[in-house]
Amino acid sequence: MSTNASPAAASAVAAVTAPPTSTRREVRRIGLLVGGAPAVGALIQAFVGPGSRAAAATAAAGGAVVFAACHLAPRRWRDTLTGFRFTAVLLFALAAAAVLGTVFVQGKPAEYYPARYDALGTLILALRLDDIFHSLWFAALLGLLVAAVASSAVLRFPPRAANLGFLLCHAGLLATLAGAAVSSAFAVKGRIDLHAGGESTSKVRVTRNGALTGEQAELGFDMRLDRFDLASHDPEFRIAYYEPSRSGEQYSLRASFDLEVGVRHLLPHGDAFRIARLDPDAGGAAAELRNPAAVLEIRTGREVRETPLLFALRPGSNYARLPNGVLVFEKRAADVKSFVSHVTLTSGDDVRQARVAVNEPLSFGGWTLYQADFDPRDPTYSGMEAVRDPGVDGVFVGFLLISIGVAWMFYGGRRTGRLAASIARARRGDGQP
Amino acid sequence: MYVLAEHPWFLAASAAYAAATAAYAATWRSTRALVARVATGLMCAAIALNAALIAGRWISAERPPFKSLFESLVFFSFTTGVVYLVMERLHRTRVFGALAALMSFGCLAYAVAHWDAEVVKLPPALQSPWFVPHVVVYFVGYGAMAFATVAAALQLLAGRSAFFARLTRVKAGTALTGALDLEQVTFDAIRFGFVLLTFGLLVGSVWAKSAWGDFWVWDPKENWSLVTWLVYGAYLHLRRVKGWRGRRAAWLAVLGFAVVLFTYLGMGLLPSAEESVHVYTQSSQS
Ligand code: HEM
Repeated sequence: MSTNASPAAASAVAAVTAPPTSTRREVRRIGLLVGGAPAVGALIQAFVGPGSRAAAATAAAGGAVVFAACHLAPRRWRDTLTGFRFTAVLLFALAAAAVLGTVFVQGKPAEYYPARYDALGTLILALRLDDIFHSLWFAALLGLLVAAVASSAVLRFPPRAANLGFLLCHAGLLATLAGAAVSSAFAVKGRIDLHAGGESTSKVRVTRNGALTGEQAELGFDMRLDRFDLASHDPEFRIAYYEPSRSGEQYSLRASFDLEVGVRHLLPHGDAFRIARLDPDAGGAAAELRNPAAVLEIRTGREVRETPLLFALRPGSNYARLPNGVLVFEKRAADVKSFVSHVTLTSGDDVRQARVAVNEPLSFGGWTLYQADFDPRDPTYSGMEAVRDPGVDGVFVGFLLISIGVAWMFYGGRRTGRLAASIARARRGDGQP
Repeated sequence: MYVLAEHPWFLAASAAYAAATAAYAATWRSTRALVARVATGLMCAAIALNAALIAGRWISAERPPFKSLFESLVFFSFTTGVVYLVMERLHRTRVFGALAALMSFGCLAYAVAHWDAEVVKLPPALQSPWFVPHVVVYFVGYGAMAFATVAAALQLLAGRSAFFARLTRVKAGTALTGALDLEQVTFDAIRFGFVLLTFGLLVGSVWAKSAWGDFWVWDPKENWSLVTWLVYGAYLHLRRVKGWRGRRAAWLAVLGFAVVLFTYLGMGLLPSAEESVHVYTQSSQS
C-alpha cells in the first residue's frame, strides 16, 4: 500500500493535463469525437446492410481513420484523444450502449419491435437498437476506443519498467478487440445432431444467433457417435412443505426436508413435524428406498397428532394437511448429472476416439466441438455444437495481457517511478498525462 | 422468523454481525481499547460463523455453495467481512467497522428473505474448474468495492456532518494514528477490486467459451458486468483529471457500487431478463 504517489503529485499532473482555460474547448472536442463517431456510423448503416463483418470492418477502418486524423491534425486533437477525460467519457458511452442492449430485447425478428414498442419500435429498428452490438454506430465507438488505446500506447513507447503495466494492459485491450473482430467476422458456428450407435456426419448445420440459417459447412473430417452416456442424479425422496399462493390457485414450495427419522423440524406459522416411522419398502423387504412409506407426527399449536401411513409413490395418500399448508411425501424427478458423447473422428488415415462433454470441448481439424443438448425422451440423441473461431487465440492472449498489465500497474511496485516520470514529462511541458 | 428458529447457526452469525455493528458504532464514541477489541472480536466471530455456514452448506450440498442467490449472498457477506478485517489492519482504523459490519449483516438478512426452499443440484454447465475461481474472485472483488463504498460514503458524510468529520480525525477505536485520507482509502480499495473484477470478467469469458463455445454473447448479465468494469475504469482514469477528486470521485465510487448491486440483484427487473442464461434462478420461496 506504500507504492502510491501522493495525491498532491497526481493532481499536479492533472493540473498540467487540463489547464482550466482550455478545458471548455477540450470538452467540445470530446463531444465532437464521442458524438460524431457514432453519428457517422449511423449514417453509414443507412446504406450498408447489417452483419458482423460490416461491424468489424467499420470498427477497424474507423479506428485507423481516427488514429491517423488525430496524429495529422493539430496537436491538441491527439492530446484530447489520449487524455484521461476523453477516456472516461468514452468508457461511459460504451457503458451506456451496453445498458441500452439490456433495456431493449436484442436480436428479435423485425415484426417484434413495432408490436411490443408501438411507434418507438420503428425508431428502434431504424437505429438498429434491436441489434446494438452489430450496429455500425456501436462499431464506430469501438473504433474510437481502438484509436485512443493505440495512440496512448504509441506515445508511451518504448516500454520501460515504469509503464510496462500500462502498455501490457492497453496492448491486451487491442489484442482482445482485434481477436473479437476476427471472431465476429469469420467464426462459423453450427449444430451437429447425431444418434448413438454409429450415426455419422461430416457436415455442420450453420447457425446465426442460435437460429439455423439453412447453410451447411464442411467439417473436413467424419464424426461418428459411438455411444452417448446420459447420467442422472439418484432420484430423491423428500418431505416437502407447500403453501397456497395468495390467490389460492397454486401451491409453492416453502421448505423441504431429508428423510431423517425423529428429527423435529419447524415450519412457518409455528407448526412443526417429525418423521415418526419410516418404512423404506412398503409391502416389500428392500433396505433401500424403493416404495417408502412414513408416518409423520405433526404439532399445530398445542395439539400433536400422527398422520396415517403416507406412501410417496401413491398419489392421493402421500400428503397431510396443515392449517396453512400441506406436507407432501414425494419423489423428485432425477436431475441430469452429465451427458457425454463418445465419438470417433476420421480424417484420412487419422482415426481418433475421443469424448465430448459439457465443459470439456474437443478440438479437432480446426473445429471445436461442444456437448450442447440431450433429449430426455430419446437417450440415444446427442446435440453438439461445432465452432471454428480464428479469433479466439487473439482474444485469450489479450485477456492474459490485460490481467498481467492491470495487476502490474497497481502492484508492480513501479507506480511511484511511473508517476514521477509522467510528472517530469508534464513539467517539461509536453502536456501528456 | 421461523427460518432462523429452524437454522440456529444462521441466527448466531446474523446476531454476531449485528453485535459487531453496534460495537463498532460504539468505537465512534469511545476511545477505550476494550471497546475496540470487543468490536474486532465480534467481527472475527461473525466471520468464523459465516465461514461455518458456507462450509456446512458445501458439505451438505456436496458441491460449492455458490449456485443460488441465497448461497451467493451468504458468501458475499463473508467476503465483505474478510475484506473489511484486512483493511482494518492495513489502515489501522475502525471507523469503517460499523458500516462494513452492517453491510455483511444486510447481506445475511437479505439471504434469509430469499431462503432456498431446497438445495438444488449443480447442472452440468456449472460443473467446471472455472466455477469456483470465477465466483470467489468476483465476490472478493465485490467485497473490496463494498469497502470502497463505505469509505466513500464516510467521505461524503464528513463533508456534511461535523460528527463524521470529527470521526475521521479522532483516534476512533484507539487504532487510528493520524487523519485519514478517505479518498486514498477508497482508491486503494477500488484498484484492488478492479484487478479482481478484471480477472473475474475474463475468467468468466474463458469459462463461457469452454462451456458454450462463445466467449461473449452480450447477455444482460455479461453486459452489466462490463458496465461495472467500465464505470470503475472511468473512475480510475478520471482521478487524473483536474476537478475530479474529492466529492465527485466519492460519488463515482458510490455509483460504481450501485451498478455492482444492480448487476448482482437487479437483472430480474430488466425486460431482457427472460432471455438471459445467467440470471439467478430464484426459488419459489420468499
Ligand atoms: C476499457 C478500457 C480501459 C481500461 C480498462 C483501462 C485501464 C487503465 C488503468 C487501470 C489505468 C491505471 C490508472 C491508474 O494508475 O490510476 C490506466 C491508465 C491509463 N490509461 Fe487506460 N484503460 C482503458 C482504456 C483506455 C483508453 C481508451 C485510453 C486512451 C486514451 C487509456 C489511456 C490510459 C492512460 C494514458 C493511462 C495512464 C498511464 C500512465 O500513467 O502511464 N486507457 N488505464
